[in-house]
Amino acid sequence: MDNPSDLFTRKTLQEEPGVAWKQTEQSQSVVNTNTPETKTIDNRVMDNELVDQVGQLTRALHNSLRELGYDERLEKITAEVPEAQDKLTYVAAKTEQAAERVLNATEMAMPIQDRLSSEAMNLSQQWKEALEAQQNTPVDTEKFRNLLIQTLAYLDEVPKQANATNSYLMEIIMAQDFQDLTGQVIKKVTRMVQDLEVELLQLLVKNKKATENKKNDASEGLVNGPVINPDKRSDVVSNQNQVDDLLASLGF
Amino acid sequence: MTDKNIKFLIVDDFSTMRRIVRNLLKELGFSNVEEAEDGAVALRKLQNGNYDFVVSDWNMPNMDGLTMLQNLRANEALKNIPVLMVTAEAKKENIVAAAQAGASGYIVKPFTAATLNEKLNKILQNMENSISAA
Repeated sequence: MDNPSDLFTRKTLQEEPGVAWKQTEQSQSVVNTNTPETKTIDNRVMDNELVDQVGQLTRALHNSLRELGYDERLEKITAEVPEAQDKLTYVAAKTEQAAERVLNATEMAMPIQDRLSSEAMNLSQQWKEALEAQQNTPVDTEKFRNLLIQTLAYLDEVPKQANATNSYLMEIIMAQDFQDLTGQVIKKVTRMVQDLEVELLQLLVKNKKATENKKNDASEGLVNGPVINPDKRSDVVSNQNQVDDLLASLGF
Repeated sequence: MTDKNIKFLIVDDFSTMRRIVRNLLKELGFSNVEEAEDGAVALRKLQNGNYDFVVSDWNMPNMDGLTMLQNLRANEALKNIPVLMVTAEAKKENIVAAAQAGASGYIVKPFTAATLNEKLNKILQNMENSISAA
């Protein structure tokens, strides 16, 4: 802490605003007299000047915040920001879990349906062949008997398999329970962001200088993720037909 | 008649999306399917395996889908593999950039099984036509 600029900042920050401003005027007059003689003044004076100004600004901002009562309100809201992060992490985890559950259940149910379907087709084909053969030749009772047994076995199997499929369908329904939970959490986060926006906006209006900063309208680039409100924009497509039309219009 | 044994590579950083595409491909009769979680992994796999078709996301860590596509098209051995982009990037700028980089098709998420089927068949049809023309 033997750095002179550190000591200087601490000093000015502890002083009353009026005194601190006077200090700035003094420093400025040193820099403004930029004659050949004063040019030899080492950079430390410049550093002091800069640190001092930052100190003044911080102080001024702090004071105006306190006067307007924003410090407490902002403090309260910013305390909610980490909480919002946790909430959104929770939403991401819940939705991922649900997607996994649905995919698992579907991948289990599909082979059951496929087996039922192919076995039915197989039996149907055998019956057709047996009936056709029976028109030309004497009835092959043994063959019919075997078919009958196979068919009965299949019919007994169908309700079991249907039950299994049903339980996977139920699993898919249950996996949607995330919607209720994430919905509530997202509403809370949305409200918190709205509050934060209102407070920050008011702060910007009161401290007009800040609003004079140029609006950042730099291009977003090509990696933006899903478009949340395509209806409000003209530079995005909102469905596959528009993609196809655009590509066709370009000759692709 | 399309060869149902053609080898697919699904490139997406979300495992659920990879599973969805894998299941859709299975429904369409294609079960020779491998997965990669980003463009860099995909490029390595493509260089080492005989893949016939790539279905790729755009926005991924390490290497995004467009960069992967550009790398593919610049590689003499891999430049003819069809690449179908399946992505949430819906800016017109994106679609044009993908087309210019040599994408074989572009699907915006969320998409339906019918859309995937249609685009896939169109690309496969073009492949067959270019093979028989050659």
